[in-house]
Amino acid sequence: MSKDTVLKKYASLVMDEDADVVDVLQSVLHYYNRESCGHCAPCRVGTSLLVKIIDRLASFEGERDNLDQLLKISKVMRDTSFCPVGQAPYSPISSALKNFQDQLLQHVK
Amino acid sequence: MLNNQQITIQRGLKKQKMEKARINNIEIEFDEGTTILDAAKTLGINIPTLCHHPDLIPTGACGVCVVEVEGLPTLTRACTTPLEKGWNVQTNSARVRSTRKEVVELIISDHDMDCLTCIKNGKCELQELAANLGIRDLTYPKFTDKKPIDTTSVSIVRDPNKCILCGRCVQVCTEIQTVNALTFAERSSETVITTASGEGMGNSPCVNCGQCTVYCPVGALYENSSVEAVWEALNNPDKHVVVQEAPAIRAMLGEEFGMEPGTLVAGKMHAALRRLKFDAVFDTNFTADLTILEEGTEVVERIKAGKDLPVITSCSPGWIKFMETFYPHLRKHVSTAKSPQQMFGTLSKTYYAEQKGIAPEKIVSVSIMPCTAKKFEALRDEMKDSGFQDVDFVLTTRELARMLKEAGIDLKAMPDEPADDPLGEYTGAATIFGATGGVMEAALRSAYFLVTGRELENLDILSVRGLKGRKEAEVDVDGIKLKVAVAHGLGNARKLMDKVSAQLANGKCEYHFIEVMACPGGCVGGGGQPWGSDMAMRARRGQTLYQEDKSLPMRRSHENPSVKAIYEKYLGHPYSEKSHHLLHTHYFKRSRIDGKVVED
Repeated sequence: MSKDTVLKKYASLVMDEDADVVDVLQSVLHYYNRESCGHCAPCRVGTSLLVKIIDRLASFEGERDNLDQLLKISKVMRDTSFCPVGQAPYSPISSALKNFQDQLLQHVK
Repeated sequence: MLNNQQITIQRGLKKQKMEKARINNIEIEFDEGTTILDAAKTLGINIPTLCHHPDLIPTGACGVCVVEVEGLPTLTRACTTPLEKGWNVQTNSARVRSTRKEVVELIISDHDMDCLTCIKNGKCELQELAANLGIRDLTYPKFTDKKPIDTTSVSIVRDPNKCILCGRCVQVCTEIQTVNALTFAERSSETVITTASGEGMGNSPCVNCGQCTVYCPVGALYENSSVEAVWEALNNPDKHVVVQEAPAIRAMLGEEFGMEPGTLVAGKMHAALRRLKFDAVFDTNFTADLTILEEGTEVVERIKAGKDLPVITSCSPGWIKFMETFYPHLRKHVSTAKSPQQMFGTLSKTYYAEQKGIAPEKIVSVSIMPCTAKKFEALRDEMKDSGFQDVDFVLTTRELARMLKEAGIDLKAMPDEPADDPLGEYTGAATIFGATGGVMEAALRSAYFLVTGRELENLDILSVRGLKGRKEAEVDVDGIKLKVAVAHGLGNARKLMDKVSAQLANGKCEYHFIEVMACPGGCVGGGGQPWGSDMAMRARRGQTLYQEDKSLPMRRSHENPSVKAIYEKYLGHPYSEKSHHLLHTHYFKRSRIDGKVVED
């Protein structure tokens, strides 16, 4: 993975060269969904939708649009969530899209 | 041009430090601590909001009100952020507009989209917001499964599929009413609003006040409707359907028909009900006058005997269940007089049935109430003194408006008609029952007469009027100094009852007579009133009732000729044995877990 890839803030994840970015994102987004307290709508709804979308991509049932949705939702979450939990998913999603778009596209139907 | 405009916000008389900032490049002078939302409002800029309500402490749950502050990296919530010196706030930049829209798209993605069949259709704040922001696509799929609708309460229905988790209902229930029936549970995608035991509102300490239904911005909380049952009764030729309307209805039914808040529609309301084909249109105000005589006599007797003081009013069924649940030790202090609704119910199937020669089982007694707790009160087991269920169906103001609209009756075009005899005549004292302090004022007008035999000259007892949470007054009745207190909203009632309980534990309470209304503002702010009513609207409706009081020829309950007639012909005298049987009740102790009656 390239050096400017951010997966989680204040956390590091060790993986080998064969790791699939969608699997990694899936684990990260499920983590944020679990951690969302549910108080503010952008984070509660946003993490729920992100998980739904990444699960589809992970099972190779996603569509091209889903990649844009991931970015769009996480961007709104970054701008409007109350705390860093909701603001966080933007970084891994945007860096995955920037650095591993080819891998993500392989998951699209 | 607008850049040089200076606008000053004045908040009360408190002198605060004035600062300068800009909103959409317009210069504004503001008090330190003013939120961006409030400051913008003074410039005529309404920043869209969803979870925000003027009566509640902002929580920032929805994220719709975000604005851009130049120089800050992320967007800022206008409802919770105080404006700061030197800021330039943009409320409509490209970034703000697109973000705001996307937040609403996220929120509606988990909201039931059956707007056409929703009870809130046309009155939903989320619907209005989506329309104002020009949302045309449903971008995302719903991510939660259909949840069961909570119909365990006889008063209130909760549909979690429509809930947007703004938390207003929880705030009202905990902060204003201090009932704590509703709460957030679970977390993340699973977050729900529910009762502590999760067994539904009907199996919770909920007192049915219905304030949650008034504050809900969407169709997630609404009254358990009796509209269909009433239509059925009206269309049944074998039934004689009588109707009563609470004092507060006349001050706000007009709002549902586009009239100014606080327009008095008493006469039009009677006419409209006749056109709905009710067989007799009476008025709860009549039994409000009767309540004053029963309760007033009880107060006077108990003050004379020095027994079980203070006397506490019993008109508000939300308060009664609250008292039974949280202050059961005060039961003996609560007046045994039934509420006006229940007195009417009993009399409609006894006195009226006898007078008219109608079999009581043929009578269907309907009440129009500003209240959801009245539905619960009507179904109480002990409310069967006529030999039948005293009140058959209770409709809220909202339900009546729906019936009138369905029948195509335009309230605005109705003539002014009086209510029918013998349960329709009323005085000004009855009409002010609908505003906080009204029962107290009405009772004092008659108590003065009952004690002294003379009429109270100055009828306006201003110290018990108004929206101050707790009010006190001292009234001189022929040398006896009566100390009275008024509380509205159950949070205020709780504070007053804690004080009363502490004083009673030490031997003697300073008050003689206390009025409690469960809803803030009294019945004009009831849980069955038009949606979205805030405290300012409640105050205006209260004023309407005081205006009607002033305009009526009779303003003391004991002057009501129909009340005199019912005592002569039927009841004997106030507090008589017959009244005791028909017009008085008793109270229970209730569980704080499920609200059910428990053994003492």
